[in-house]
Amino acid sequence: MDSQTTPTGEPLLSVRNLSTTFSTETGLVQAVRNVSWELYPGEILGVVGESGSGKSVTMASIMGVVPKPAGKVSGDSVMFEGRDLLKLPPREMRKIRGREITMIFQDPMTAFNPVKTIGHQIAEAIRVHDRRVSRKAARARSIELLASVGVPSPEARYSQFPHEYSGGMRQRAMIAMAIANGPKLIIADEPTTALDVTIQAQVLDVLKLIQAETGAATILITHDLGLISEMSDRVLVMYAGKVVESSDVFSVFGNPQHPYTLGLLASLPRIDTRLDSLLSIPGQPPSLTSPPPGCAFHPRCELSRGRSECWTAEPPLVQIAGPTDHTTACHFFTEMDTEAGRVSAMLGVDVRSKAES
Amino acid sequence: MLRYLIRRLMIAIPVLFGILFMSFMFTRLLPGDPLLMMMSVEEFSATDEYMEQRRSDLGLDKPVPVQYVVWVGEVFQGNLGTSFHRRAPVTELIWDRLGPTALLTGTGILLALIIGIPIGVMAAVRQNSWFDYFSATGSMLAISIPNFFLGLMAIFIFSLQLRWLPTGGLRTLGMEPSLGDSLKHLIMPAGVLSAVLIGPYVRYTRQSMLDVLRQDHITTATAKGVRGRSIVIFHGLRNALIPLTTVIAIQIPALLAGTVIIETIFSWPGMGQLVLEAIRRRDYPIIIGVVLFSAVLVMIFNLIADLLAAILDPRIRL
Ligand SMILES: Nc1ncnc2c1ncn2[C@@H]1O[C@H](COP(=O)(O)OP(=O)(O)O)[C@@H](O)[C@H]1O
Ligand SMILES: [Mg+2]
Repeated sequence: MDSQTTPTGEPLLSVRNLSTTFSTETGLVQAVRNVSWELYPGEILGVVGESGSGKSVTMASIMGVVPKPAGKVSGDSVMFEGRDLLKLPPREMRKIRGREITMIFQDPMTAFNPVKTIGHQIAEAIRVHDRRVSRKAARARSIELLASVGVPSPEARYSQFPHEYSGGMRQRAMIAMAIANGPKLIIADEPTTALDVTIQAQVLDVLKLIQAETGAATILITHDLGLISEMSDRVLVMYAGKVVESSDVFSVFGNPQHPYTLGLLASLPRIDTRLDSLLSIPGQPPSLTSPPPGCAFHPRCELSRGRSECWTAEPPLVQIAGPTDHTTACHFFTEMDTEAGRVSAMLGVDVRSKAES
Repeated sequence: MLRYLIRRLMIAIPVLFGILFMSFMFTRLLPGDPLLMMMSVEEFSATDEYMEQRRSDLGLDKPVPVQYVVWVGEVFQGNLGTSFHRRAPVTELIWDRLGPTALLTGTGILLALIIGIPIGVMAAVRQNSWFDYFSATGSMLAISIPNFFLGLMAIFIFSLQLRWLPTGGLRTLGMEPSLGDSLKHLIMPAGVLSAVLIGPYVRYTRQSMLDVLRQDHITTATAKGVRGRSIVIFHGLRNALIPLTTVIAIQIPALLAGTVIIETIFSWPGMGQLVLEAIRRRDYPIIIGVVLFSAVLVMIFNLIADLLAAILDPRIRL
């Protein structure tokens, strides 16, 4: 992607102090804890973090599809084009879902209704938002959409059921459904995780193509840093339900300011490292029922060794001085350069890299 | 499809022969002359010479395996023998009773579905709400009350106290048959039968709805902007019907043979009554006839269940 720095102008989406909890038998799960971030028109925002860090729940909260009554969303606001999605009446919210904001899900096998044809499901997405579109017109448009995402013989494919599609084709159909109503924002939640490696690249190409064509802002959720560096403009790093670092893709990869981000970079397989020298982040992601006090990452953090501050005080997300809009939530981020040097020396390769272009 | 049907019939054949074999063994183990079990009504008054003639015609003087073959041949021609007591062909007796039983169970099942499915859907959509608990309690209650008690209560209230409905029978004797009269007779037994079935139907529906509503494609539909009601019906119930149909279809043969108590209470001239009477009078040809008939019904409804599943679920290829 092009080397832009801080995007200017009004954000398309602005999330303010969003929190989401689930009441479960084992206690209250704090899936998303007070996150704030924004998304600018036309950009691709990568959201990265280990599984369970609250990426999907954040997006579900924005879309208003958090399962009720177990899930509770609270926060100051989620502003989308002048409307606060947290306060919008259900009727209005329904008009936004699937038209202005659409989603691409991780597993295209289960994301389609198994007993309805793919074509029917795409046509449904069109017709729920515009009853004036005739069945015939919706069908024609759906076939067009299938063709545009590279589904061969779309006429015949229109009448096929999800199980008759291959994984890659299903995900293309999912993309077709997501762009059916010309959305302003597409949320792709691990769109390639469930696919074969060879198919992943193809589906990503389709995603890039339609993003370029439609100009829709895109949120790309993944735990694959490689994908982020290849696709996105800006990055949001999430850990234990919080945003721990955010910046443009070059700063995050070239100048990580949070030990967790550094850990992710160090565990990324590279062509120039021996596989056995890969560093993985020690320990397990924390429980979200009772997150560690202070900085949630401190039990796994090299920098926090012996420093009481890390488990007594919660580090705020602070702006780092510099030309870019780079934020981090670490008490000791000023030591990150030294730390990155230490880890790089251990691995024998500089983990801080230029993002692929 | 055709290949599937053929394959299914191929599987059915050994099962059928197994049942035939057991029934045959049963007739041979019984005291008395098997010839009596195979004769037609007119033959009962026949002379001894005729009986001997018939015995050799039917091969009953031949070795047992040959007799089995002959007997099976008769069964396949629809000859299930003659009722000892009623002096009428068993096939005819069963056939006469099938109509009223089918009417009763059909109406009972239909009523139970019409009431049970919406309640089950609501209970799933509003999981853990007061409605959910209320319907669960109601279902438990309906299942735990014995149907003879429910039937007697219904007769007491609607026939004896309110005098709205007749106490039993298929229609008022000596009256011109009319739809209204038939319905009046049907409503109580069918209602009691449905009361027994509603509970399980509510529970099956609720459970399969919960299973479906948890699935990813429901989230997709929501994220697409589909209305809640459409999601519940066109995405939820549409999928939940697949396991539901199978459960219900497989249950039907048991109901056809098993509404004995309700039929007895309401003097409903159905299969249950026929069987009950046959057991009481040791009318073996009827018992064996009903056993064979039930076995065939089970096979047919299993097939129907599979066909329905294949119609409802495009993933199933026959
Ligand atoms: N419906 C739910 N009920 C209870 N807990 C949930 C539910 N959905 C998600 N969670 C929990 O919320 C946390 C964040 O999940 P999620 O956002 O899916 O993570 P990821 O970053 O992998 O997308 C996890 O701990 C998960 O167990
Ligand atoms: Mg996820």
